Amino acid sequence: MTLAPPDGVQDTPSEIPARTRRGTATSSIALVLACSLLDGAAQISLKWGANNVVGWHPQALLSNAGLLTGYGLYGASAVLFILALRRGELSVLYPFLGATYVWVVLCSPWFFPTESLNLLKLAGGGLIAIGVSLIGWSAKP
Amino acid sequence: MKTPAWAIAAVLLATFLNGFGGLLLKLGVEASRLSWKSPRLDARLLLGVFFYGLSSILYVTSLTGGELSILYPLISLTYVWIFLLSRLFLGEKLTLGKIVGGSLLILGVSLVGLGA
Repeated sequence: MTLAPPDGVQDTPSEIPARTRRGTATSSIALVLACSLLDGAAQISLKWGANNVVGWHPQALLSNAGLLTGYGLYGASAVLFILALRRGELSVLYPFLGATYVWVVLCSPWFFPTESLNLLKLAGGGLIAIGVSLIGWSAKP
Repeated sequence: MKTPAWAIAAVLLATFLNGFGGLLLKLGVEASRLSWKSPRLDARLLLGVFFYGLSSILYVTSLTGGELSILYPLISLTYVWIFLLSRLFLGEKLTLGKIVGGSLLILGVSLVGLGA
């Protein structure tokens, strides 16, 4: 079901797996870290939006700035993630999305006064940061 | 607040759809041409986006209906699916770094859930 590529296109799909085999590009890891920041912002935005939801009226949901911004950020993050996947292993890049937890744990108390930072959350965030770093280091080409 | 069975089932389904969606995205990206002039999008890329979206809706729905201390450890199952599917269908090696790093991630996500 592949279509013939138009003339003048250098970037044939068959080249891409070869690039992947060489390892995971640092630029791809940076892109996924950007995704994690967008996802963190999306979650905080969704939470803020959800706090303002009174009833399940479609009109109210569609005009809820927090929910709309949150899903918009998720969409942008998905696009970046797809671009990142061009140059690297899924099993290396995907875990980097875990950095989202670190941003959310650190930023939530600032946005929502009822949420406080505690030892469990801090320890969890630290372990996630170490785990993700280990995967990144071990994937150095 | 007790965590109902449906929330646990929804989160488990979400982890698999998320991992499987990631696999489809990777396979789809390799078979697609991402350019403004003459893009060619593989069906698996679109299906991957669909599964990704579906899993995020399931996550949000289940998180509103249950305790994070139970649901977060289950969510971290996604990493297991990713490692498994990447090895089976993408030929990506399961290195020591991934095993140790992935275990720390699972533990970390669980702790964040317990602290919530």
